[in-house]
Amino acid sequence: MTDFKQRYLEFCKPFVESLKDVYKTMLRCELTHEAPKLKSNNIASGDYSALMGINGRYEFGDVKRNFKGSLVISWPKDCYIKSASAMLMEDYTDYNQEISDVGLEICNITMGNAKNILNQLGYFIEMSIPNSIYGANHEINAQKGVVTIVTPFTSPLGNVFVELNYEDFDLK
Amino acid sequence: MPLNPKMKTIVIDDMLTMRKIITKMLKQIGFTDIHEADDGATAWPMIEEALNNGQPFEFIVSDWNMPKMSGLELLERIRKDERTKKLPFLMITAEAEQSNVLKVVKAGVSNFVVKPFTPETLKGKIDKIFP
Repeated sequence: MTDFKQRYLEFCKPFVESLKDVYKTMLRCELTHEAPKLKSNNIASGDYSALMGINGRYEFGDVKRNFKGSLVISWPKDCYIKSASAMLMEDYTDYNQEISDVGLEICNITMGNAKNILNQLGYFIEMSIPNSIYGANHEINAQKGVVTIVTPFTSPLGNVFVELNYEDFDLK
Repeated sequence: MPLNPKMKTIVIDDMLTMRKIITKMLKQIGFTDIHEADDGATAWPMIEEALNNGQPFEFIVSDWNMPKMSGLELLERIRKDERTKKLPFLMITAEAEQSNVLKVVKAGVSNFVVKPFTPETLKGKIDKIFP
């Protein structure tokens, strides 16, 4: 395995574990992750996507690199509404303004926790403000040159997808 | 100071979702007088107005990351003001790094809770502020 692949996998794992922790703690729901896949198109995996840019630096021993990318969490409509209902402890039957930032909050908490774990592994991330996109087949264009890996999750509430874009490069 | 569920409380978070969750959890704990603000910048005038009206807030529950005035900036402002310097302040954050914890402790936070959290965790943190 190349050093890049090893760093990419090491980088992805905390996001997977953090999202599972958010669902378990705040939605009282167990997520099970499936095998990650390389993504080759820009169509989102779900109907609602929350995303945050990632920028930072990696320092471990003599290795010092910058990295960039983004975290995207994507939900099919039905799973998003069920997840919002579980998190807010209320019953929602359709997407509306009241539940529009549930995905943002899940993304924000996932990023915050992953950041803390990654920090201990030598990755120092600058947090950004999350954004969301809603609509069937919406497109998310990743930064040029980054590799995207999507990890699907299954749960009693439906399927959730985590897409991680990542690229690292030499410090200038 | 012991916990009085009737104490005037303000929940501050820019995300409606988190305000709803925290308010719901506080109600489960027994709180009855809960107000909301969507940023530190909107909360501060509410805190001042309540002081001027003679019905001050008695407990602040605030998120850290907010766009106009962060929870840390609000905490620092509250601790600098003679009228509010002892106001109980619970900080809620998604970032648990040691450096962040040190920052809020140094600024005089009463306690803090890291997201994600359960109602039991929130209650435990509040119980430590009001033993």
